[in-house]
Amino acid sequence: MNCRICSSLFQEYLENTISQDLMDELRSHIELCERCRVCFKTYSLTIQLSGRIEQPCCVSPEAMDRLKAMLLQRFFSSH
Amino acid sequence: MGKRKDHITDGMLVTSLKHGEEKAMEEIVRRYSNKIYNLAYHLTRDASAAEEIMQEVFLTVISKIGTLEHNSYFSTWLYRVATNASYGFLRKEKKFSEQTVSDEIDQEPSIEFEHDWSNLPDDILLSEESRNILKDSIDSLPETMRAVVIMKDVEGFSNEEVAQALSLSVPAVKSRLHRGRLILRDVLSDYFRKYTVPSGEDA
Repeated sequence: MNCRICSSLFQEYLENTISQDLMDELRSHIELCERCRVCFKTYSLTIQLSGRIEQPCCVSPEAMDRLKAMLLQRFFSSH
Repeated sequence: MGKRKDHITDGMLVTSLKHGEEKAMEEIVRRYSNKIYNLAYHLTRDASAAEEIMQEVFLTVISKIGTLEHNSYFSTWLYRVATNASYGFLRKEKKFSEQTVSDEIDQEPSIEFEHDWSNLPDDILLSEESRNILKDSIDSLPETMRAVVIMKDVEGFSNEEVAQALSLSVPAVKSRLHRGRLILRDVLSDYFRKYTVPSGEDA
């Protein structure tokens, strides 16, 4: 395991889609290599931060009313 | 009542909708309006466009549901209509410049000295400034890479859903995602450096 291979496997590691052997190799490399350890932690954190860039927003009640009115009209004209 | 409805699969709803049952449409709107709105909003960064796209998606459901052959592909189909409509909006607004069409990034993201910003407190990691930097960086990724990152990391879709909505293979989604994440991580590493490297010692 070298650093380049290690970093190319971060995604597979997080999604748990690599074999146990490879997983073990990756873990021991990350344990020994500080740079890869930092890369992995910041890679994982980047994903988490992307998921939190905005408060979950939702359709406003007014927009929902407009949508429903429009769909109702269209629904009955097509059925 | 709500609990019972959760046992109704999308496929069953689509069958009912094909028979013209209004209740099925209501349930589809309940299940998908926020997801579609958020996806369109994050792709376009425009609240009124997101509302229009959401309307367009559900109107398409009503008019084209008969053409959907496999009822179980319903959600994928919805997301595909939503992403296409969002792209359409961005093209119309000319928010895609020519150079963003290619997904090729000339150079690999840097693998220089790494400083560890993963232990910074949440008020720094999630400050308005850092969130804006991340948003802007996502927006400046090449077109498909940007859509993949938004769908997967911002909105939490699965690789398969992203692949089907964007007409890409799963490996293509994963490679764009990985490259996109590395680019974003580099941007964040640069930004957070001022909090982890004491001033004057910047190498």
